[in-house]
Amino acid sequence: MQHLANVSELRGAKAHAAAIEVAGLSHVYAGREGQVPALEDIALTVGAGRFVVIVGPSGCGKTSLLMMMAGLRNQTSGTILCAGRPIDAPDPDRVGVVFQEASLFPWLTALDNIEFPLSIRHAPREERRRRANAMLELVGLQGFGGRYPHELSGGMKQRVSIARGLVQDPPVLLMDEPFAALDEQTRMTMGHELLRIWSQTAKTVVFVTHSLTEAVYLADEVLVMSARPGRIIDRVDITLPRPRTYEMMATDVFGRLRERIWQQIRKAT
Amino acid sequence: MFGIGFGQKVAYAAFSTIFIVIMSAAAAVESVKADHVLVARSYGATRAQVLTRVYVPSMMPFLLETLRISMIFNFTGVMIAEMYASRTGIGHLIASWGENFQMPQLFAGVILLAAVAIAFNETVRWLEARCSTWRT
Repeated sequence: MQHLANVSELRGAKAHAAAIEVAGLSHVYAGREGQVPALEDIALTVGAGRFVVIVGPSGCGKTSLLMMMAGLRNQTSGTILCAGRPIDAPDPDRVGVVFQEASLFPWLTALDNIEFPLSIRHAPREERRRRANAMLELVGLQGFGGRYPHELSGGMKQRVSIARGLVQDPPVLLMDEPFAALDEQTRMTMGHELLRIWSQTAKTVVFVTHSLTEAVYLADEVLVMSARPGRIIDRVDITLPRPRTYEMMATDVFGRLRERIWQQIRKAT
Repeated sequence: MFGIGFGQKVAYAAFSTIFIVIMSAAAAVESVKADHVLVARSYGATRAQVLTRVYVPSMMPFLLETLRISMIFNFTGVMIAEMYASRTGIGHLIASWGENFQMPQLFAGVILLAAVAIAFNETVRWLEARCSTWRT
């Protein structure tokens, strides 16, 4: 983990302890033709406060890996530690999850959706309202709290999803291709917005995507996965300075990083 | 089997709708999105909370629709049962008023019946609309 240590120094005292540690994780599921290995010997460490992006070809098990980190799915073997303790069931105190599009409850308003995690735990009504409103403001949706999901655009829905993931103030935010269903422009804007929210909240983010541009633009570190069985075949430190700007996408460094990840994925499939 | 009394009417009504109810209930459960269940679980929802906070609201529009349709079947079913195989009830009364040419009573009965049916139908429809504003 030489490079991790170096980056930690660069980012100062903010990043030192590991927020997530995965060791020796493998997963096998029973398919039609017997046992199918889905994930093989995954080991990774996500430092606190870091933005780590996992990329890989479709079906490589990156979403499964994320669901395991969220405690929503069990691995066949290996351990996942979050804040030093194993994750074996969903724990909203430690981990918030943002899902792909259309995961908002359509029968609840934006504000009620954001309050949902709090109401599950019977938080007092006033506190719920206060925190949900603060989150709504954080994601830039003041005044839209009373709207139902079908009255919001795709980008707005994902803002609500992010607010819902953050409302309990978990140290770690797991994001499963949150912008996959958005058009290119909205996607870029949302990426930029996410970085703003991230820098304001100092969360650890693990973000799954298959867009390489998005990966390089957002990440401190990109983990590249191979096709099934999913293994981590490369770690790429994104050395671009922060805050990131759209202009950086046109730079040589950006292009080289993107190219390196693309080569790795091509080799692996 | 259930005689010609109250039990027979209930049995007939139940029989005439039970298959509709079973089939729509199955469709309603199918309509619940797996993603929504996953979201609720990720926020630590218990089984009971997943049921009340995800399943019930997802299924509500379907269930009310089913209620409405099966009540239509119930209404007609019971009326027919009363007319042909009963000694009590408004269906029986309407049938005997008709046979005896007691027109005012006959029409009063029919109109009353229609009014009750319409009132019920509209009430459930209104509820349905309220519970499904989110469906596009």
